[in-house]
Amino acid sequence: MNGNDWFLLKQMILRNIQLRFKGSFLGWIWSFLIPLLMLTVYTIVFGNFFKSRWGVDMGENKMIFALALFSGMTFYNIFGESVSIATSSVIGNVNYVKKVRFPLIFLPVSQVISTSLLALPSVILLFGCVIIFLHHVSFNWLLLPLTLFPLILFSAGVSCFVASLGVYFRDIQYLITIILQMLFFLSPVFYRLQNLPEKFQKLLNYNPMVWFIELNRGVVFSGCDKVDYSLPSFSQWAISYALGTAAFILGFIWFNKTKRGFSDVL
Amino acid sequence: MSSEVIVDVKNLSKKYEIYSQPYHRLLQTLFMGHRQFYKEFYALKDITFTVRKGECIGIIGRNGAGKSTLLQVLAETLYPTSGEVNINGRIAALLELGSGFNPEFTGVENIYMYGAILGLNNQQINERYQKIVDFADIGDAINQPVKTYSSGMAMRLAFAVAAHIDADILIVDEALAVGDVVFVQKCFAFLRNFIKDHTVILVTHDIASVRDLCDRVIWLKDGRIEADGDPRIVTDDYLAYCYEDTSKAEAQSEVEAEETPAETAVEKSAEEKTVTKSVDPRAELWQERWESVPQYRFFEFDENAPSFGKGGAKMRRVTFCDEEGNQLHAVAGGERVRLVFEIDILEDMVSPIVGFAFRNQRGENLFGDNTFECYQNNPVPLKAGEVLEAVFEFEMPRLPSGEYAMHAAIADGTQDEHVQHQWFHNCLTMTSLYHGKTGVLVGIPMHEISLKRMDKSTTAENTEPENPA
Repeated sequence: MNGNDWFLLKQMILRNIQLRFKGSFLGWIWSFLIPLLMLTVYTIVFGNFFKSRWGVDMGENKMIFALALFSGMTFYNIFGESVSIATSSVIGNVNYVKKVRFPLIFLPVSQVISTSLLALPSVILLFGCVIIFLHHVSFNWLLLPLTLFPLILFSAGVSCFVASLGVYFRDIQYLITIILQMLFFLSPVFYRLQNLPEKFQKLLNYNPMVWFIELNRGVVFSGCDKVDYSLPSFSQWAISYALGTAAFILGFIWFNKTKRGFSDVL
Repeated sequence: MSSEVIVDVKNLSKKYEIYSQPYHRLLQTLFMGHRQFYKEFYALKDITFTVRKGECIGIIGRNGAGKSTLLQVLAETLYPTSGEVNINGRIAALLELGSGFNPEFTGVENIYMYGAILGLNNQQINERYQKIVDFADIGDAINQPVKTYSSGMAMRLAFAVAAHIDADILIVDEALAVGDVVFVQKCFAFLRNFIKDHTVILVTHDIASVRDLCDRVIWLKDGRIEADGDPRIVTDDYLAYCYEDTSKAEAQSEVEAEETPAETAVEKSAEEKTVTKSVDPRAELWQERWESVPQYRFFEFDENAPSFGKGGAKMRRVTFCDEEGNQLHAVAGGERVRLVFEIDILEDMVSPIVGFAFRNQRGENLFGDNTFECYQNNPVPLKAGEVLEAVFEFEMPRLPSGEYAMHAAIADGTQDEHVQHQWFHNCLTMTSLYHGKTGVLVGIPMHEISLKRMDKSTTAENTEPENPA
């Protein structure tokens, strides 16, 4: 990678982000508005209609469930959106494959990075609401970049894998939607991991997303007396980083091995 | 011009593996050659050539001959099956102009994006930005989304960016066929300038621009190099091959010719025409000059020159004669000459057409004509065994010094639909030793040249009188 490649990657990321809101009347405002509206819906539906509780305490603040759910959604979506967009990132850019010399790995990778950047407004909103509704601020929050990193690495690895696979198997696009939906429900987004029976908890540990969500949530809520989350343990850190790095390396190798055939089948 | 080899292609083959399902391609990778999931098709087979720095190479060939595949391999968007490709320098591949454009973004944004794809960084694009905008010359549209552009405008912008990336090697695939005349000329001007110290590989069906721009032409046929060499020779052979193919097809579909109508031997009306010897006012001057040095020398008709066609006729003699019928070996230019063809007819013909054209060294057709229009309503049907004489009488134009070659042909049919019986390349050559400046490619003889002072009275009528009497 030389300087020009970095510039290209930067341009692509910028372009991806611009494209999301290009042409809409409210433009950038949507990046804040969407998470805000989502959070409002969660609060009304789960807080008021279902009276869902995150912990076991029936008297807990009704915002807790909404915020816990919202945080889970935010972290899961970094992965979910990246992967679903990346699936068509190569197929959708045949010109880059056949007509110009182009570092093709940038296609999925730039999508992952721009998706991660687009999650920032949600993260800021999350912190804002924790401050307002849970009256909680923590220096631990500064650790968040370190906990997001393995999640992004993991997303990039999987994205590269499916981006390449999508070229050879068009069915992947549909299959991925189902798989992402499954993983979503198998991740502690709607529920608290500790509330599950022991054997299910063990089973769920095979879902890598469980580790990333719990790692990030731990940093966001640790120290808040209304929710019993603590800072991630060493094993949580280690496993998350191991999973992220492994996925990234494998995805990268896979992509580079299979990209030679792209122009033959596209 | 240095002799440094900049592109070196050795035994390059590209085998397309035809997969019935895309995932078979992946299985092929994963099985690492233990099983075969495809049908083979060689788009390129055993291609070897080198390109030296500063050369301009044209690649020609019919559709499906492998031209685009070759370019894609050179541009490294396709991987060769076997063989080696070594490239020393930065390549800018214009395989399809504007393929890096995103229609949602404005021209400006796309300049940066496309520039980045072609390998520039922010600072480099900033430096060239104004030049690019000037070259594209699309006005305020530069700030509008590209989706609002006409296809011509998009191409202009794309070419403008590509033209400014300082590549060592420019690969152009049919890119010049777009845009209006002015822009195409701009592109050619750019290419001519670029060729001076860079390397260009050009794929096109436009034989004229190949002859115009290239130093060397590679003709691809069915994935192999059919010919590699001088542009005029290779393009002539290529055209011959194309014509042959089409006339073969025509011959096959040709319905058995009906019996020729009653023998209405059409006398040549041309002979009855009163010949008025028109004289260029400079004829005497040229005639004088000719006493010492003839301006044009004709070489003998070469009946072994390469020719193609169905073979229903064979030219046996082509000569330049004076009005009395004496063969000319040299002329001064400006005088009347008769170009006489004697053709053996080997097959019955319904309406023969004889034509010729003179070309210069750049392959440009300068002048020539055919018999079609004069005989389209009363054709001269011919029987096998007859001998046809065709005559063109004209005033010899002045031509800049150089070599000229005549192409001549006899066909049967009409201007648009005909069976080519014999098409001769370079069957008669001519050297011009003209030392004066013509300023034009073909100087036609003038019937009058005069400089006169106009009458004062005439002038006064048109202009306002300065000094009223």
